[in-house]
Amino acid sequence: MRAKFIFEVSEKQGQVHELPIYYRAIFMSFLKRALSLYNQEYFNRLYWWEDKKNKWQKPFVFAVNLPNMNFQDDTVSFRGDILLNLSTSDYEFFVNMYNSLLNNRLYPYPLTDSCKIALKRTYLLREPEKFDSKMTFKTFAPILIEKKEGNKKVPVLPFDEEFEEVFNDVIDFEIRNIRLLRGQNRELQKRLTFRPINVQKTVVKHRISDFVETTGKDIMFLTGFSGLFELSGDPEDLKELYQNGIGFRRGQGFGFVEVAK
Amino acid sequence: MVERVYLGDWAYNAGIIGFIEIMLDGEDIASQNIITVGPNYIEFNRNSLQGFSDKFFKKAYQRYPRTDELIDLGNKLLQKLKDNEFDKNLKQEVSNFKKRVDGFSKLKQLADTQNIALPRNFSKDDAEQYVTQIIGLLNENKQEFIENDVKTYLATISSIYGQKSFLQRSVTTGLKNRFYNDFEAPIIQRTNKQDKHHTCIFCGLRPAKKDALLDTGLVSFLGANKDNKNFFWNFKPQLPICEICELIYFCIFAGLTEFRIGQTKKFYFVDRNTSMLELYQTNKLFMEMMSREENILKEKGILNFLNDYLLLKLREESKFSLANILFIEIDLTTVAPKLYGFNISKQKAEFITSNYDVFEKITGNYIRINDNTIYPFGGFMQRFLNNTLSFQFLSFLEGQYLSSQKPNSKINTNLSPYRLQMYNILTYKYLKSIKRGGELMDEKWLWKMYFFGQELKKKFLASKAENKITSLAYRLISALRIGDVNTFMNLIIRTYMSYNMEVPALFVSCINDRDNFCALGYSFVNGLLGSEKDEKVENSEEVVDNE
Repeated sequence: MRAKFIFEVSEKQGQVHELPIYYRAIFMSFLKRALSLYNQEYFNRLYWWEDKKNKWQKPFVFAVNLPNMNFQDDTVSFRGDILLNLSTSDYEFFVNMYNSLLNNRLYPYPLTDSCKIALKRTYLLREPEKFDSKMTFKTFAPILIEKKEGNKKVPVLPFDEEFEEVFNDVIDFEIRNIRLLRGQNRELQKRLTFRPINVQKTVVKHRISDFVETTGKDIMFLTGFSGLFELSGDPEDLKELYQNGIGFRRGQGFGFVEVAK
Repeated sequence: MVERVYLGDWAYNAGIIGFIEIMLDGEDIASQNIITVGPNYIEFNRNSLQGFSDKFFKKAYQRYPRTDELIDLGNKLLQKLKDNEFDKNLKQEVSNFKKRVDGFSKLKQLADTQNIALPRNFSKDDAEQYVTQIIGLLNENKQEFIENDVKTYLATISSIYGQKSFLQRSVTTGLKNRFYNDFEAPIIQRTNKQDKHHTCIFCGLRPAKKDALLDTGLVSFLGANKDNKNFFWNFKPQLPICEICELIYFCIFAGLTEFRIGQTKKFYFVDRNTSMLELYQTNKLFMEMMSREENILKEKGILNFLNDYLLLKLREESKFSLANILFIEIDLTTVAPKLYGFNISKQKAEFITSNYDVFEKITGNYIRINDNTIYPFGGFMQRFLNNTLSFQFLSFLEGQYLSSQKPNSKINTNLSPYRLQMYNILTYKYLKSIKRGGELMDEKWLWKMYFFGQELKKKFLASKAENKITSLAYRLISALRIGDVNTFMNLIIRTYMSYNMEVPALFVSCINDRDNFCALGYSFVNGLLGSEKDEKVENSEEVVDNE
């Protein structure tokens, strides 16, 4: 289930808009706000575990497209409507999120003090009818794969030797958790093989409250990769990855992939 | 001398009830003095059996009054011939009358000997003459014909009686006399020879009648007949039964409630042995209720009659089941009669009684495909009773309904989405509460979903896209039929998104529960196709349609 939500910025048309460089986090908070307004119970189930934050894998991925975007140091400027791509394998999440975003009381929603958005149009995207055991994907948002070294998390990139092993561990964990949410207890059905076609390292500036609280730093740097790659494995697993994204922080705007034609 | 008869097994009890019915001949049990009713027995004087043969034949004739029916039909036909033009329809009626006469072998024989016939290309005068002559024949030989009708009737239920002396094929006249001489007179005059060595195995009170054969003394479906005489000592199929018990068994037919649907005839008996009076009154009430309802139902037309009858029978059966009373259905259409006792579980009985009003709403529907007519209620109930009911049947009905909506469709039905919703509710409740034993979701949810469907329908109509309604319904139903939640949800979401409407969250609340999901899904489709209120179906229209 994959949809596109188009938001218009309630400033004069043609004007250049600006968002902080960690715009993904802003959209994440927008989605959370919308969901909590519409269905608090479902929101709590997804993001909270009693009074603690729920770190369980989220059954969705999103990616933000800012047209004509231009990066400055701490900001990104763009011109035109904002496109939010949302993908999930979970109908409950989708229906709740779609209904949340449709909620008129939400708009105009202030992404920042100067940038207010309103929903303009939504539509469902056509998904591939069939998944093969070998598919080529391209990233809409960088993919983050990390491994633990002591207490630290270290990014692993396709150029690293151990990449495929770490990649499989991460994906297996992800898929298992998402399937558990649906009441299925199924791991990755077949080991994945990753073949880079045109992949490059990407460093992204991001911001989450936990990081700010624990480190006192405002911005975190995340290292991932983006581009074109081929993935081989069980078609059902590939579909799951297509629908829910690949890697870490998918609920924060990373790991969104599209099938390359 | 006073004879006492105690309650026994169900067949014996049916015999007692039949015996009371015959003896009282319409008199009220409370104000008569022929039979004394005790707590678990009846008493009567042997002398009061005087005239039993007449009453016995009268009762049997009431069940099959073919002679009177034919006279009545003939008279009506004569009147029509006098009053109306001799057209094709009337000619057909005369031919039908002749067919009935030809099927009445004794009458046909007599007519042939007297050269009464209807010419091949008969005129109005020929027809009048033929019908008059037949009526004349019937009236002249009425007593004989009546006896013949009794014989025919009792022969059709011969599994109850076997080959009684007066029912033997060789006996063609004087049946009543034969009955009188063989059974009534010897009892009153006490001329039956008694078996000195045995007492009656049924009552245990009276000495057995000498040489009473199994076949004349015992109901074959109770387990003994000539074919299994090797079970008996020395292969002697004689039975120690007394003359009174034998007579009681003769009366079983009058104790059973008879009900006929088309060619099928079924018999019912409610057995409760708490007290004689209660047993009598329960069965009497059941007989009256069924005959009263039969008339009401017949007035409603055969279409509803079939369905309503089924439901009515089930309701009564359920009531008895719930009260732990043995309810017996006897099918005499087969060589070996079948008995169905207490064949409905308590759970199902409760289900029927508690959902009776919903059941009532779905009777009277038909689906006509070319010349074939299907009555969905019958199929539904059959599946319900056989434990094979599933959403597949509902899916079939939905499909038929949708096909009937196409222009120039060969399918014609009076099913409406509202009625389909009733089928949906019942199917869901059955699957959840009886078959799977799960917890039912609130019925309000199903209606909520129905209204969501209607809301979307309004949106379609407002945007002048009514042609999309049926195609969407088709696709939703086919997704539900194969349990494809993904396709169903994709269709729903796509449609709602195209109108910028909120998707009913109810769908996703039970996405992992197949029964709940299907019930909600079908409710939605019914709402999408339906209107706010039930489309009233006039029975009269149905009958006209049906003819």
